[in-house]
Amino acid sequence: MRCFYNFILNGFSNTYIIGPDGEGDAIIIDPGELNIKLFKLIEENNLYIKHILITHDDSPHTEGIRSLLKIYDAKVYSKSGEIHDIETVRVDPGMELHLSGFKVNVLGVPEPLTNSILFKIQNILFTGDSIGAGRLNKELTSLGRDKLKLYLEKHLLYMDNNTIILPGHGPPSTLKAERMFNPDITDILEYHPDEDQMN
Amino acid sequence: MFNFDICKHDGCESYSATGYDYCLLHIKDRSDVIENYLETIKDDNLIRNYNMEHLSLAYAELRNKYVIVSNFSNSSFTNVNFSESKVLFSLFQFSSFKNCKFNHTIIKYTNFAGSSFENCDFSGSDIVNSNFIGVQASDCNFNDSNLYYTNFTNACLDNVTFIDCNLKKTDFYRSKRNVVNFKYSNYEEAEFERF
Repeated sequence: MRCFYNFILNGFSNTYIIGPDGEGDAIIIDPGELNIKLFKLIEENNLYIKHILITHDDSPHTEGIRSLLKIYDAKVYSKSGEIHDIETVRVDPGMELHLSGFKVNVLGVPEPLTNSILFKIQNILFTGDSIGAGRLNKELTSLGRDKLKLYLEKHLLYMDNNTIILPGHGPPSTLKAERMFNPDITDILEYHPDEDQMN
Repeated sequence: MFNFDICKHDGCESYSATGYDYCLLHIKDRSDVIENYLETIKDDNLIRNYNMEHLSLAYAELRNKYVIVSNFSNSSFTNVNFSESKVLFSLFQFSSFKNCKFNHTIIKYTNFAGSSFENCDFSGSDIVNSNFIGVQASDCNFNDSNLYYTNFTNACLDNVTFIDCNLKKTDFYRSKRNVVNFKYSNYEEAEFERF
């Protein structure tokens, strides 16, 4: 498996490509735009974009979809089922997809409040805006944050320490570092929102 | 990016070194591998897609290098000169830096979480949107640097100077600061509390 990173000026966001060791079909995650650099990255590595995964419907993560679909015969996967009037394959947390030879686990808070899903491919977690290095999503409502915290406690924090976090913005991280130093996550150990109120 | 293959040594959670099945801790000819690696990067300014967890370097000259999407976590750097280098989207987590020079570096989207810095000089650098959460830094100098959106949450800073820096959106939430100097810097625009 190879993973490629591309910085997108639109919203200072990160786009990632997962492809095979050689040439072949690939998955792109959160294409904020299709610029020359990203296009070269795809073509010079003999990749063909077959699947477009969207962590959440926000311009810095989606503006490249339309251009990609003009070049590649790809399917788009999102939580909303439609982005920029383009029909997508609707995916929900808990689903397991098999795309281009990769197992993709769809994770996330099963509620509309956070508007985000996460994708796990092998030991890489694509977190979109949900988890950044040292921070959780600042723009969530307090209820959304509590739900995300609860979800993290139940699911993500039991993943392997060496799980690599590749966020939609900012630097990469590992689950070990986030578990130890991200104050939003360390607080989970001290604060337990009432589950009944959350559901 | 760097490879995501786990070291084949039983129970090891580290990522294997680029081109090998094991991480640097469990490669038998470790010193040869490091020597070969240093030879490779000696003349090549671009260090790209390298995974070198558990690297141990002393008295090395890594001046004017371009480090991109590489992983040097759990490493040890003593008297290493990174001056005028560019570091982009890389991991240096849980590493140790002693007497290292980072003068006039450009560090973007890079994660140093849980690392320790002793007598390190970052002066005159652009350190943007990078992560120093949980670091232990003593006798360090970030003077005359741009630290926009860089995160020092939960860091322990002892005798660290941030003189004449851009601290807009620099995050010092829950950091412990002993003899820290923000003179001539816009610390009003830094974050010390979260609401």
